[in-house]
Amino acid sequence: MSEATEQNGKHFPEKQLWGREGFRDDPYIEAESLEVAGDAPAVILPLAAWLGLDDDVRRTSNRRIGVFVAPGESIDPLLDKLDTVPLIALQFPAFNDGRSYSKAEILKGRHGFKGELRAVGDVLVDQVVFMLRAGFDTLEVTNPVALKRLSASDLRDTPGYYQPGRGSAKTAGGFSWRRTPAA
Amino acid sequence: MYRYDEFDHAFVAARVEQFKDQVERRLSGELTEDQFKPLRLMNGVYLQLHAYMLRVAVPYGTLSGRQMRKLGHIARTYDRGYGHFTTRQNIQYNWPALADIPKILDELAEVEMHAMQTSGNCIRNVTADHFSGVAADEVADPRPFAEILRQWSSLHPEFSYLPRKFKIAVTGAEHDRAAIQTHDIGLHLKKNEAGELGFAVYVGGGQGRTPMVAKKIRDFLPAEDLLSYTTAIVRVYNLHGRRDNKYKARIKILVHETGVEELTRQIEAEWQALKESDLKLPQGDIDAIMTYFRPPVLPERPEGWGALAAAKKADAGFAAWVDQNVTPHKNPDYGVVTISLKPIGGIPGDASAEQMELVADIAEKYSQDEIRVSHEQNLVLPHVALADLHAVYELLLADGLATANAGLITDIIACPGLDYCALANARSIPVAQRISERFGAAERQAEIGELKIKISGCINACGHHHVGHIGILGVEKKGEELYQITLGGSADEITTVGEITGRGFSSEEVVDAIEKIVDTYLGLRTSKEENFLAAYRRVGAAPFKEALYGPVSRAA
Amino acid sequence: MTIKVLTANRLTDGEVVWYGADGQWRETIEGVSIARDQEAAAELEAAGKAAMGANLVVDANLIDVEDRGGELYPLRLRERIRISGPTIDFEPRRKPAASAA
Ligand code: HEM
Ligand code: SF4
Repeated sequence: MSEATEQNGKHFPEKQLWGREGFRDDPYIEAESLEVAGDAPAVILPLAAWLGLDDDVRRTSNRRIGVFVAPGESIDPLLDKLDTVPLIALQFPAFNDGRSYSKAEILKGRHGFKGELRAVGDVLVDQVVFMLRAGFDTLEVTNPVALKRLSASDLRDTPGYYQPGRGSAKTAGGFSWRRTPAA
Repeated sequence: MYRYDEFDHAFVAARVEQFKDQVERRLSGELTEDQFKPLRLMNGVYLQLHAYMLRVAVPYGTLSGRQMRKLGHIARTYDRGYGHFTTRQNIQYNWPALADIPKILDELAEVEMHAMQTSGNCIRNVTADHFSGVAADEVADPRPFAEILRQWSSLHPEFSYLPRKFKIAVTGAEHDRAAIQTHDIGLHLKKNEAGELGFAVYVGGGQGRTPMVAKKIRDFLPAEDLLSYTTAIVRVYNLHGRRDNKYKARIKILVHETGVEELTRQIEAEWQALKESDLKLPQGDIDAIMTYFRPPVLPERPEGWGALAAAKKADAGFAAWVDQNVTPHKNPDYGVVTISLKPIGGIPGDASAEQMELVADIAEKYSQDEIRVSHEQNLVLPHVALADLHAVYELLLADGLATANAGLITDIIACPGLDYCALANARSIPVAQRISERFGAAERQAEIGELKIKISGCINACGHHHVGHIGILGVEKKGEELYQITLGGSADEITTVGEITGRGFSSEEVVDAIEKIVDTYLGLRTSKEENFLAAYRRVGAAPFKEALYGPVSRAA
Repeated sequence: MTIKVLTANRLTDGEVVWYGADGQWRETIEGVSIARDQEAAAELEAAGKAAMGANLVVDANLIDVEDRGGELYPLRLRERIRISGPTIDFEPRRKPAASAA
């Protein structure tokens, strides 16, 4: 956990990685290709570059190679390679572009993606709960209000949900579509 | 009626807190207008010309007396003493202060109401036939399914930021009173040969600047698959609907550009993967929701038959009202009363706080505590004993609520138009008022028969002009209001989009033009039984155009 | 050129306001700050942006008006209706106060 989380008044670094347990260090760097990534231990490549890698390189590399997917890009080519992806970063170019929510559902819900699913881009506090429930594990946050709220664990969640989703549990006797946040 | 359980209460309370927090952050400047706008819209808060507007959801148009009384109380306390019932079975308040809206939401929550998803690019309030549960021609009450959809779509994590708004309507009868084919998804509840409930599914209807009639993509979807199939449709739309141009962002455009076969294929493929998921509805849950909508146990009131006949004989005004505004109930001792919110020369859909309270009282005493809002901007008392009709009529009459014009030419749908709306090009309400006055005489309306006039103040088509038998669209030309007329639209089981007659008419001319159209119809109908729409479908536009513009010049 | 004035809706209650010659937002068009040339119009526009940035108002816009014998007459009907309010008799007649619930 970085110190920034504890100190409300403190100046936040401009980009922070957050997950359900709080802020955490980010081992990844973004790069256009493996070549320009230097010897960084963990790299996120654009989808085309990632797909361009040899399967063997992906499997045997001693570094983690994640993939960045823009909302207009299809995740279909990734689906049969999910066991070789440590991280998928789905982009929100604007918070109201909701395509990445559906992809998150498909990746986590349907295909059981085990790696880290990360939301990047315009991540604001009012959408954090949606992102977690759609299946995101981590959020890359720059918005100051979001940083402040997240560090105070102030998410304004509802006490129940009307849809199945990540991080929630079925209650005994309730309607089948209802859930409560998992403890 | 559906009643909130603890889960619902806690959810709505938390949602009000969320919004309260968002309003506070906006007022303190922590949120910019650009950031706040989508958040306020998701809670039904618009900015109009003169003030904010709050749209409160009336799920599938069903209200109790207590809820209606609360709506009246809110109108009096936080607004200017009235509200406007809309074509989506909701109510809008035109003057609330932003700072008061959290308080209004608290008050609504007390009576199990909210303003969630009455706007914004999410799944909107689900609408249903306003005669659900009482109509004699119904296979089953569609409201339990509307309620399941309401719950499932509330703060949906995947579907809160769709390309554009998304509207679902459900009907349970062959005769479609819910205009399902003008919706993003239209559901027609029916039974298969084995007697099981399911839906015919229509996709891609919509109005606005590119009106389209929905396409049927499935003839029978078992009821248990409602949520999985809807999820499949909305997911395909969320992923592939256009986001580059908001005028092309509705699912109707996706259907049009992708082609209905290909889109159906994608939806079905998505559904195959979802079908056996947690979204499958257990019969026990369907039954439990249906229990809430069980028809009330209506005492036998056979004395009404004689009493009604005698009262009609004694009171001609009452007789006219019964003939026009009361429709048959499943139970022959009862009737379904339409309370017209279209007094002659009045503002379509507006009701004062006092009127709302009166309707609440009447519903509690005479209609099993139930009220409906119709998409025609009227109110409905679904269960009135024939024996009580006269008493109900007298009460309504005293407060200007007994206009006998349901379905007639003065029962006009009109959007707020330029009197309120920031997007408008022209006024709608004053045009509706003048038409209503012109045709207001009871004999004249009766002579004309069923005729639906629908007016919008701009191409967004909130007033449904595309599907009016006569549609009127306000446009702005050189700073003046101008009105285009369309003919032959219809929003029932044979949905059609009206055809534009030709050049528009000025505000002064438009009522005369409507009169010419009506007179032309009266002159050419085969009999009184052939209503305007039927006559139009038989003869086409030509005689009407000729009446409006003179003999057709070949050059045109 | 036509003259321009600056109008908006107040953030807290949505009330229609005009930007006064004194730099305050006011509820009537009288006493409004008038731009008669490009430069003044640009200044007004900047004042509108600043007021939106300061979260005093929303939807600030310059509108075209004509000076008709000392009275400001907006060219668009929309803006005239923003001054007059709805052109219909919208407020319900009040009956003797029903018991306030
Ligand atoms: C006064 C504030 C209002 C605003 C700003 C507004 C805005 C809009 C817009 C932008 C559209 C076009 C959407 C599209 O084509 O994608 C639309 C459509 C519509 N609105 Fe409104 N509206 C308002 C009031 C109303 C009212 C009062 C009603 C009900 C009487 C209503 C019912 C509808 C309906 C039924 C549609 C057509 C839906 C469709 O395209 O399928 N709106 N509105
Ligand atoms: S049709 Fe146009 S003018 Fe009428 S309410 Fe809708 S957006 Fe406003």
